[in-house]
Amino acid sequence: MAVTLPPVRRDVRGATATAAVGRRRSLTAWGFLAPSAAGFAVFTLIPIVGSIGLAFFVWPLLGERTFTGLDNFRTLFTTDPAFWRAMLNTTIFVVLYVPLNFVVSLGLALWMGPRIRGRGLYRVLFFLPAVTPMVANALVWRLLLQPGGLYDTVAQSWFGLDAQNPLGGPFSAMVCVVLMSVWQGFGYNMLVFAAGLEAIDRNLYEAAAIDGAGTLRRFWSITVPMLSPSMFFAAVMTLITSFQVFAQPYILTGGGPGNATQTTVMLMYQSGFQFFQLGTASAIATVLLLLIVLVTGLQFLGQRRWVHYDH
Amino acid sequence: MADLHARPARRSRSPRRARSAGAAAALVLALSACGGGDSEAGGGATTDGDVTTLTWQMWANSQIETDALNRLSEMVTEQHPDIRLQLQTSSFADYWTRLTAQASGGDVACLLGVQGPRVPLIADLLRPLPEDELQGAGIDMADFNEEMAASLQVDGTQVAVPFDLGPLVVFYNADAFEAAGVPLPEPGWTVEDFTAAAEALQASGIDAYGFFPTYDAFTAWSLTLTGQQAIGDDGELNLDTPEMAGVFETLQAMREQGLSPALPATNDGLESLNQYMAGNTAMVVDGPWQYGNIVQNAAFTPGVAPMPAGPDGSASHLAGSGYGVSANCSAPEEAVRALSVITGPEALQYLGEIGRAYPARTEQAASWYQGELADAQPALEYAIENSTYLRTNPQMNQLGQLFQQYGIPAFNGQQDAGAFLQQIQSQVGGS
Repeated sequence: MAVTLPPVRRDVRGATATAAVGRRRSLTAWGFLAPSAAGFAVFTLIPIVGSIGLAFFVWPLLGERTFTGLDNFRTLFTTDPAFWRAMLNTTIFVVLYVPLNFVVSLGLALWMGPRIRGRGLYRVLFFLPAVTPMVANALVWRLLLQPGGLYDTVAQSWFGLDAQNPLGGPFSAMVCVVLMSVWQGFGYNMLVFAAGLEAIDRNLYEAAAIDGAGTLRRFWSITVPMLSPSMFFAAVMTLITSFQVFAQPYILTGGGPGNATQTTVMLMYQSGFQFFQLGTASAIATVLLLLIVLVTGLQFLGQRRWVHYDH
Repeated sequence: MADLHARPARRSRSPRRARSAGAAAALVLALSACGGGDSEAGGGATTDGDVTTLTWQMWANSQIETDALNRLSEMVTEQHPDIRLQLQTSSFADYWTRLTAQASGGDVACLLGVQGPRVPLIADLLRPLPEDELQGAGIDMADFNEEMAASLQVDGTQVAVPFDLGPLVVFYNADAFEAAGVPLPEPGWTVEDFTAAAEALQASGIDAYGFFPTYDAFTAWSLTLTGQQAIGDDGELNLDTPEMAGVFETLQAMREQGLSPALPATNDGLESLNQYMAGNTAMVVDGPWQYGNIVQNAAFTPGVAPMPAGPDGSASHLAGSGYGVSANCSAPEEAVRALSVITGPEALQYLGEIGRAYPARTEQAASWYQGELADAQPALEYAIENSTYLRTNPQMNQLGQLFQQYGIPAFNGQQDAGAFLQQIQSQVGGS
């Protein structure tokens, strides 16, 4: 009897003990999370919030800083001659780059499918541009494409064409930036697709073939749905990085000729680090952030229609 | 039993919690240490006993340049044992961003490298250096090139003391001139001589003149063709004038005639110099600070000529750099004494002899003409004599960037000269 406790008191003790254990667990969890959370807060969250805050100021690096409300945004949308052009250039880049990247990376992943011999070597070779420094790649492309470079020389001496200066024309310069970016960037998506293709059960293809499905039918009805999670991942990542494109046009064309290849991030860099107008640069960054959040949100909403997670 | 289970559990939880707390504390300490390091550098000077250490921020693009700066730093301590300099370097391109970013955080070195055209950009950071203060430290501005000294003034007061200077000149490929049977250019040659030489060179199979639309190169042409710079003495930008349009049209005409090659879109301001050094073009306009590099690396015999004379004679502009004392330096007296050494006769003689900088002190200027650089003396002295300093204003960064960016398609013939200059004027000059 001495060791038997009344049920109510036992429940209270039990509840208190459970709560204490819960608190301890919670503290422990926070302890483990602290380094990562602190890193996230210090290096990501606070800079983002700070950057958004800067967008509401005239904030030169030197001199007086003044709160201007929405003026930076108003100037960008109504009077800044470079902003809409940069947005248009970025859109053109995204519209050309993303589908082309998908066609090349998916095409090569399919070509290197599970049956081809030495596919590991091919994967390494095709992935090489993605791991070599972008600046070095862009410089090599510039040497090839500038007047007197390989492209110009071949066009003149082999085909008898006039002097070629693809980096000097507004449209051709954008095409060069897109092509160089695809060459540089397709390897990453190719690996994602190759891994997705390897995971598809071969029996599905055999069963479909026995049922009389042709190559195209098998591609549309088995490969595409089974690969859709990989495609969704690749689409989200590629869209985000292509909206943020900077290094390729910066090195290859410097945003030119004129502002024909000046992208939104380039304009942001120019405003912030060349013209030292941090408020304007932050306003551009905020607009770009909202645009990327919007497009990515739409992709996540749209995925229900075409991404199949059930095997 | 319950206790037996509980004890190890508590024992294992406590160290875990302690470790987590320790990790968090370490992170906080590490972050606060970062902050501490920054604030320590405020004022740009620390004193330890009798010795004051001043931070010195300067650009350097190679170890050779850094070594030369370290030698100057040693000279300071040799002459003033109570002063030590702590050198902080970054590349020229990054220097301005770093300097202004640090200044925005209130953290500026005591001694700063200052380039003439960028004086308005960082004027607020610099301590005015009145004549009596400079003379007290043994610096007599009359010993320096007058134009160069003027380029480092704000409202008539020095804000920096120059160490080097350079006028824009024409570099030519002497081998290509000889192959084309064209006499080598000499001081006094005219724009007509330049054009005739260019046509003969082009006929011999080499692109005659590589022009890249930097504001500097354009201004060298505007001075020799019209005697004017787009920025006036008052700092006002006047690009949209018929005279300036005429200058750019002259350059466009060279491109149309095939004397100058078309340009690719690029932000590499050295594009034309690189083409010249690769032997693809026979002439280029640039500053003498490039000449040592050209002599060392070009696979042909290079030469120097002043800008060809326009209707009113040859004219060019000179730009150069110096050192100033930051306004928030906590040891200004020591900083000015250090300044007198790093811009002193011995330092500039040393920089001249090793080919690092064309001395801004007139007496030491001859020290630059050593070895293969000696051939450049007549042309350079002629050019310096006929140069004014490059006028500038606080929008110089925007002007330089946009002029180059939009100048490329305009030079290639995709835009009318007047429309191009009007566009830059409206974006930078606000009219």
